[in-house]
Amino acid sequence: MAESDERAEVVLDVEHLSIAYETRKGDVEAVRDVSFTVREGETVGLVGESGCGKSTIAFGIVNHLGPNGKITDGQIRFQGSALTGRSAAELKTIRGDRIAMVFQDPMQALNPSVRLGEQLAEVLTCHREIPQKEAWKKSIQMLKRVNMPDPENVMRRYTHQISGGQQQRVVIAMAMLNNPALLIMDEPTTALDVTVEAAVLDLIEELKSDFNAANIFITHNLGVVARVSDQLCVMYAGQMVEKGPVVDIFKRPCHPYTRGLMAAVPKLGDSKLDSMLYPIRGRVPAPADRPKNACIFAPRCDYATDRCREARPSMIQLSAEHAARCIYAEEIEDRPRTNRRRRRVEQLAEAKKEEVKVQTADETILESENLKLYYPTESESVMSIFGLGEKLYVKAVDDVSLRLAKGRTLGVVGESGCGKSSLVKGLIGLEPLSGGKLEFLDVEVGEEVTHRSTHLIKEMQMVFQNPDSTLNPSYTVGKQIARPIRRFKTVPKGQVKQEVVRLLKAVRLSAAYYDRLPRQLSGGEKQRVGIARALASRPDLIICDEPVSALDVSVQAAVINLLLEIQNTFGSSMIFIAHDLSVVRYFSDDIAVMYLGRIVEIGPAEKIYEPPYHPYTEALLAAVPIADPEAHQKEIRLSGNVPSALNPPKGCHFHTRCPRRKEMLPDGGKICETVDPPWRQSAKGHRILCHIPLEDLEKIDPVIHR
Amino acid sequence: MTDGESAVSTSGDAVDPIPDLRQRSFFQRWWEGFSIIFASKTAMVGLFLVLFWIFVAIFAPFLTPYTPLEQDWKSPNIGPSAEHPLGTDELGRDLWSRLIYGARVVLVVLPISEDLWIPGGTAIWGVIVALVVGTALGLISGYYGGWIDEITMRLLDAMMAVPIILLYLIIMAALGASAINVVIAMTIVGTPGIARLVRSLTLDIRTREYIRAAETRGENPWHIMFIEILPNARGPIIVDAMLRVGYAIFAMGTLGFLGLGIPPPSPDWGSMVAKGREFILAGSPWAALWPSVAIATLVVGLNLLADGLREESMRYQ
Amino acid sequence: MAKFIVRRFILLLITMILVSIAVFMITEASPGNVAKNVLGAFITPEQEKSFLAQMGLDKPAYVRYIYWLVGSDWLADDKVGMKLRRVTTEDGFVEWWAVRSDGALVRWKLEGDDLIAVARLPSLGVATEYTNNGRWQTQEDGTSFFWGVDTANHVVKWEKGADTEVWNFVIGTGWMKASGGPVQYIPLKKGFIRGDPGVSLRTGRPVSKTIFTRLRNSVVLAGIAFVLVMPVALLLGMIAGLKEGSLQDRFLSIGGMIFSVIPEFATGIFLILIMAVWLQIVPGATVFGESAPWQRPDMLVLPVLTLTLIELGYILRITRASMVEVMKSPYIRTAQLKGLPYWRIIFKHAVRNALMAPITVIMLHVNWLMGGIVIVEVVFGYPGLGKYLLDSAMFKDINGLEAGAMILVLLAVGTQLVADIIYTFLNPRIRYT
Repeated sequence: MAESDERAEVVLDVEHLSIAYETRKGDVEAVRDVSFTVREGETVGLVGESGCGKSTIAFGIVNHLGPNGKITDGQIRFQGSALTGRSAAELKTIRGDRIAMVFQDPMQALNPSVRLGEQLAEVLTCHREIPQKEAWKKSIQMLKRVNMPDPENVMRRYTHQISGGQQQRVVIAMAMLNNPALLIMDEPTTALDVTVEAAVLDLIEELKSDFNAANIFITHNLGVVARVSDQLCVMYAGQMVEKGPVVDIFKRPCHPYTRGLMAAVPKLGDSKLDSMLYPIRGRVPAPADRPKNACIFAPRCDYATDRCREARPSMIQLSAEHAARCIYAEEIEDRPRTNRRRRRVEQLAEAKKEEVKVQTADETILESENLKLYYPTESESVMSIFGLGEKLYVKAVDDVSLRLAKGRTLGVVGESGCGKSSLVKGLIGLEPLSGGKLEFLDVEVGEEVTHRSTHLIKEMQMVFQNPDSTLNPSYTVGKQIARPIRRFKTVPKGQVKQEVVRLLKAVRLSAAYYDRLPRQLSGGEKQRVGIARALASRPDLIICDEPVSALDVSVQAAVINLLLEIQNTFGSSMIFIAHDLSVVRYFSDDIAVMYLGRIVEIGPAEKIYEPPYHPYTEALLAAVPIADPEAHQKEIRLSGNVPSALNPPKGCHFHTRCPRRKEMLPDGGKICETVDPPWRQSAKGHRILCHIPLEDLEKIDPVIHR
Repeated sequence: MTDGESAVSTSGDAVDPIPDLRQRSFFQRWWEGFSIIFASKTAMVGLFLVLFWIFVAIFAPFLTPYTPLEQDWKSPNIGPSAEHPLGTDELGRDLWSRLIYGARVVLVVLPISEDLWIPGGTAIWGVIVALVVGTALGLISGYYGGWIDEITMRLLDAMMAVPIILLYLIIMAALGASAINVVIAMTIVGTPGIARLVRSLTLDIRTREYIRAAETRGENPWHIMFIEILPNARGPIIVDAMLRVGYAIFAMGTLGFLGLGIPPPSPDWGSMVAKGREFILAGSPWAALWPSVAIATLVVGLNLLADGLREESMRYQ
Repeated sequence: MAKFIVRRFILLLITMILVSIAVFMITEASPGNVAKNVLGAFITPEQEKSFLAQMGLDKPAYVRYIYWLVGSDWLADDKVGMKLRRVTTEDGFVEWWAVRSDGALVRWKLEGDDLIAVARLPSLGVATEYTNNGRWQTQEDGTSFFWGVDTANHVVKWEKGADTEVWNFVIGTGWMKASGGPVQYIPLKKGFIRGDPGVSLRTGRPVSKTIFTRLRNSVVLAGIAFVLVMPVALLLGMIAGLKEGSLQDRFLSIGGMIFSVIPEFATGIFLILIMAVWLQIVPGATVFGESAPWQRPDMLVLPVLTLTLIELGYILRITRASMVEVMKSPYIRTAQLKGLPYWRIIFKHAVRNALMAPITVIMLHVNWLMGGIVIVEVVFGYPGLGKYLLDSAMFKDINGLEAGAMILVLLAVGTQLVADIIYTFLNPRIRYT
């Protein structure tokens, strides 16, 4: 940890760094006055929302800012000598040798048409005078070091032939080959699934202690940063607002923005019944509109006073290493919040009480039995051109039975490719079902949406994931919300506009938004318009397909709260799909865990998060990054890749990766490989699809201890 | 939940200061887009060339004392002179008049019969009709997919596999030379390319969530295709159409040159070149030179304009 | 990958069939008249009718299409009752004969009411004539008829005393009036898919022979241009792409654009005016020999240059765009941040990916290039396939047009197939799936 008495050598020292980009309208400052140091064997986390300038800093350090970016001020000292103002040739000898980088999307970062081995070995042959053969050998060793299965073979492969997690391992291996003094990682796990992410983070931890490099870890995810960093720098709108040891900051965040971020995400295990999320209002200002001589966070701050708007605050030292850019940093915990904020907290608390009272009804709104959704695919054989040969199917959803009661929320979790999105498409009728029974409002609705009757269609609506594509860019907000109103004739023709305004108010948007085009809205606002559009037909069931996963943390909370409030006012039932286990837990009453097209565990939310677990649920929970550096989590990692849904494993779909069956079943769990597992009923409504007897599953330790 | 502030930020008195993004008028937005041209020198040069030809085409009757068919048998094949600024052809017709009336047929009027014409040049109509047909085909096959897509695309693939010149030869030889037939030929030749473009745009746009939203509302396919998808595909379609106008002029010239275009004695740049070519080595290059220059400047102008616009709009992304 | 290639191959076949049908249909719908084209404007309706019947042009379009595609001899075999054989004479003309059981070749002609057989034993080579009235058959209405091969490559139904007026047009001789006899013609051909594109209506010679020479001439022209263009265009395109936005780049890409968008005939005219009339470096008048146009290389300069300029601009721009895109990709950024030397980044990481797009696009461009070749051939009077095609189209010489069209389609789709295969080898993402 960073606080050891003997401080390691400083590898990188960034002082008052400012970076600007040239645009048509003049220079725009992306990073302003940022200072931090990175020491040997230490990881500094740079955390912040999109557009806060964290990646710009990374590229600024290696001076790779593109044709219109430039460092306008400040110093970067690497191992004692300045990096700024060096010639391209000098930089070249440092890049890839002394300073290495790991990027977000490994698929893009690796050359698709050069063998991985060559891409690895060239790092050695170019920087060290090493013969090709030896470089090759060393590369294989490094691949072994990053726990790559079958490294000799991987060397001869191309990027697309290995999985995403393996690709990232190759990129990491490439970065570590020359034993760099500084390793910069820019969102290295963001594109990966939770279980893969956990394994890669483990690897990064291991490598840190082995190679003793100085690390910079850039991420937007507080959980990830809590896990890997020693020091933390919180970025906001191009400025550093708080820095210090990670434990200190999580224990005692002193900048209002840091505090806001932490209050905006649910901790794993939090539920809407017992805790609240506090969003940060407003949005990050665009680089051109940032105040020069005021606190940059003041417009969104709950503690802001007139003093904040008078001058740009300097970093205030709170302890030897902990500092925050807020004039009230030292007394922040005792400072009064603005009246508005206080009122809001009270109201929230009140609303919570009411909310708990609801959800008593036990009427079924949606029920499915052995639902199947297969996609036909073409086989590789020549015969398939003529429609002959074997027909192949991707079994996206296989035998899914679930039941949703009126007014309740069912969360569906699983990693990418588990079939949760396909399940939704099947329910709402966008894809034809291949088998099974589906009942909605006591009517059988096996057919596609175009064949359903209008009154059923209007009762099931959807909120989508991606704010940038949820609204049609060609039409104004008003028109898009009005369309379902007109189509389902929810109000008489003359009152459509009023109804739209009413809906806008319901999603906390002013009537001024009526004439806006989607590109004039921020991500959170678009998402709210999307919710208003779904509400327009006054549906009984709202399906939310990852509604917050593409939003910044500070905005997520607002959207979650809005959805909860809507459920409360309108009494809608919801299906909530997400890959983030904390959010699903917070939002849902019941949860279904999916793996390879099947539900492996389903039950009341609180039951899912404590033993007995399905082994897959257990692994998921063990993998979730928790935004608390002191939390203890069991280390369970899944091996291997997710099998193809085209040819799922026989018996239990999870048997190829199951960490439990070997130790908990007689004769190594042979039975899992051939026989479909039985449903085991644990408590009321809690079922687990597993061969391991319930009694044994119950004996498992909980994953998380606090 | 009570009225007033929930956890949600913008409401009532708490509405954030919204950046002033008031809808600008259509004209303002148009002008803003248009002003990009002035930032690019190449686009300016292109614009100048194109505007020059549009101008002379529209005002052709006021820019010359001769009609394009008027023969002066006393002075055939002469070079530029005070009377004939660009010279005359082998029948003593004034080349400047023929040139600007030729531009008219390309850009401003579509002659249907001897005394009937409709506004919009032959090249423009060729692009418009192909655009309409191609867009409809592309939307339908892209949105419906399945066997409709399979059949349409196989047919269009087959058409695209046929060398374009061959299509022109066969179609024009069969239909006979006339302005309307040139439009028909251009439509047949241009449709597959546009259909492919629109199809690929449709395939992309239909995966967007607002399309799924429309589907979950149970909208009918025509609404989705023409109201939800098409407006969002217009950008690339317009750029493509601009380039296609350049190509249509190219094709018109080529057909005229091969004797498959607008029939004589109507002034057609391509056939003027074809005729004038015979007299180059006899010492009078003018009749071949001027229409070649005309068609070259017009297509180069259009392409410079399109290129400049594209580059300028991408520069600061 | 095998699947992919098989699929493309099937597509090629379908395309060719569709195109051949389309050519047939469109020519069918055309207002022009072949008979007038062949025989001049002053023929009588009787002459025209007789001519059309002899050419088989009185039959419905689908029958003609089938004859053209798969031949008519297999149909005529039955009528005559003997096997038919195609023989090519020493001076390049095609003759059809029936084969007698002893191996001798026979044809028939009618003299009065007498059926005369002309027989030739292959070994002898000299024809003998004898009366062959034994072959007359009797119809239901009592008239006698006979199916046989005439001396002008038809299977003919003769009727005794039918007394129809027949006009035979012999190229080089003129109209010969004959009477009595022939009531039905089946023109004999082997069919396109059996390697016989028929006889050109325009020249009266077999299409296959002319078209082969013309194709070779065009390939020589295009080949020279291609060999000159490829290395230069790819190199310049990559230079422009690497220095995106620089003065060199602007010069190259605008210059390339100008050359590629100006119609070929205009470029041709400019080059003639500059090189031949003004500078007088090369001869302006170009008269090529049909058999070996490359014997006068100085005359080839202008056509080759025209083609080269047009293609140069196009390939340059495609390569430039591809290079620019690749240089902006994340894996190039990775390579740069790995500290690799500039040239290693270019050659190891950029070039291969940057070439993938141009190579396929260039191959697809062959389709377009053919248009350029036609124009260049017309501008410079070069005896190539393009000019042949244009002449056939203007004349409505269906056999010539169909054969030319089939060759063009074969070339176009064939190059696309080759492009696909090259692409799979360049792009490992396709090769290994």
